[in-house]
Amino acid sequence: MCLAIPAKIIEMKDDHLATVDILGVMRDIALDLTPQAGVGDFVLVHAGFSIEVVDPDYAKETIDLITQFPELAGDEMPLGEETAR
Amino acid sequence: MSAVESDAGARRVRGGQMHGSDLPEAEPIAKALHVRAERVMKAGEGTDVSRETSAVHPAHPAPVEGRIVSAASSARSASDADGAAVGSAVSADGAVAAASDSASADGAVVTAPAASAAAAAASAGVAKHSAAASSASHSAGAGGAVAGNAVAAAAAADGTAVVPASAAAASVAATPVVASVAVAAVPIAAKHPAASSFAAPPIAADASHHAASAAERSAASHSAAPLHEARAVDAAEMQRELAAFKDPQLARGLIESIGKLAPADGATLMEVCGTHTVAIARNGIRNLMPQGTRLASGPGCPVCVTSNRDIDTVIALARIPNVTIATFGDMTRVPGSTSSLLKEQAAGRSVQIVYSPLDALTLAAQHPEREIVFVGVGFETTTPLVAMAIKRAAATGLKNFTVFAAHKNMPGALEAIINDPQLKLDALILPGHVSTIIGAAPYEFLAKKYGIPGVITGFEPVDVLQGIAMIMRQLHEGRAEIEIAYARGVMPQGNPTALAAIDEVFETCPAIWRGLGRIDGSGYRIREEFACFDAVRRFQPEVEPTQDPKGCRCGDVLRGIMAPSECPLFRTVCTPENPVGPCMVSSEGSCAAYYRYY
Repeated sequence: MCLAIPAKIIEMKDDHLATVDILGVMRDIALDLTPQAGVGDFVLVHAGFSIEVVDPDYAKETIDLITQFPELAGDEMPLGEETAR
Repeated sequence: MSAVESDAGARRVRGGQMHGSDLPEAEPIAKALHVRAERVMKAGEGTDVSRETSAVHPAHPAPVEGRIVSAASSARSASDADGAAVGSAVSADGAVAAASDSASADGAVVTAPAASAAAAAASAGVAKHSAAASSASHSAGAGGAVAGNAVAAAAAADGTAVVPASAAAASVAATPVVASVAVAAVPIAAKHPAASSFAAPPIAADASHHAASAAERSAASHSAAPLHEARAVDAAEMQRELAAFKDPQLARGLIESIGKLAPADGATLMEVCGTHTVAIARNGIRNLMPQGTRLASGPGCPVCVTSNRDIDTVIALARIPNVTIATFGDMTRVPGSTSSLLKEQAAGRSVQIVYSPLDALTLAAQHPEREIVFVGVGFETTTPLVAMAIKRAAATGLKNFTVFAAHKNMPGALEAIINDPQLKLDALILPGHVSTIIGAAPYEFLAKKYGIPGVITGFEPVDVLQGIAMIMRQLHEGRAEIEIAYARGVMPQGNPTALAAIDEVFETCPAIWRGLGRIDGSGYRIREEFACFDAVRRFQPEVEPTQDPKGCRCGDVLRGIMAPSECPLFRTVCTPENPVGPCMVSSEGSCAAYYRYY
């Protein structure tokens, strides 16, 4: 399944392998596809490989955007719509 | 598309035959939301859901006023960029940015503090940001060229600021910033200033151009990247941020928005990712959609769309003496014409379930007396992993490792789906992790050629609802664009390293999809240079004649024209214990999801 899970890189090992902490479980994965990743980074892990570095600030941004969504959607309504309710 | 009509003010929440308590396996959020939906239904027909829920506002603070985040990458690359001034929270020694102290809500320019070490650090890692940034500045209407990775996208809370990257006016919110962590650039759709406030980085219509040039730039910066600087991303903070994507209050806000924005005359949205199939079913999202909105499930399960002939070929390989099949677990129970891998195992063949293609390599290294054949099934999320496994095998001179390559690419099937006369899709919920690899550009044709909006969506309940809400917003505004809701997992240009690996090892070829038939360019074949790792070329297995199971409607289910519950075999003859077709047996299959959650 594609449910790649964010995992924190704990230790770099030889041969592009690294030990990661996935919600408390330690696993060795390959960092071949994220050469820029290092200790302390969070990566999305899929089938034994990291496929992307996850940045918590993107998560934060997205939540902020989601938080405003309903208000902005409401503001967008044309006046007729408002009074019809 | 359609504007909201005035008589659509009363929106009803559909569903009601589903009760939260009847979903033992549903996530808590689904139960919470279903209970909510029930109360609304009981309040009477014609109840305006939006009014009902208007008292419920997301609990999260909305710090967006005056908040801008500028890509740290811009600061990092400021030394190699053309000196565009950008605000950033990056400093080489990891101290929290002084920039946050100099934040001003009206968008004053913040000086670029980037130390060159920080600038150099992980520029490949933040090359991904650069593409988002580049598309940001482009869609922000910046005439100035965006040199290298220089970016600052300024989005004021009221959505009015469309600031060219070269001017780089950035107001940085006084929020704590983890040392040297890149902050998201929020691009702006210039034509929709209001949308900019809550669209996650939208990809404007000409994003394919961005993606190409951004990819070039990121590749350039990647090659110039020196040693990666370790970042201290706090695990607790990460968990907090991620937990928000399961927040029922945020979910309610989004459901309310979906109800308000959905076209009054209905809409059909399709997801094409098995993990979305399950996420939607598990969280009960289908029943929370407004009247007339249909969530169709497409060919998103790579195991399900593998043809019977391919299954039979794997079984033929399993029957070769000395061969050990290494496979993901799902494949073992999929019925072929006369057998399955599980049945072959029961008959004494060697079948090993593995979690990763790397495990298959280990198996080969540990058992030189056996021929290990890895079953390569999956879309672009998995294909680069198998490419890497083959490269590793080549590098270590492994002689007893081959791959049965049955990988497929998703965009190849999308055009067939769009053109299906029985479907009439209005929008697509695009896959999350496939897009992590391929980015947004391969989907552009949906918007540009067919006018179909697509939103790249994540997998938590709030992610899925956000994706749907952004689709509804596009439909409401008559837009057709490819947007990224799943910003934390997907960069507009994808993962260039992974794409390069796929391209090095595989070439595209025609593929047979269960339900869709043959689609040119939708499959992957191992290139000649790596032919010794191709199981079919090496073993030339004799495959029995293909027979499709009688009465099986997996093809129609995969096309999205039939819901699993409409199949005559569903739950009567075909069950997870006795599957007739793959849709019931795969963990990502539509029928399995319906069986389990509905």
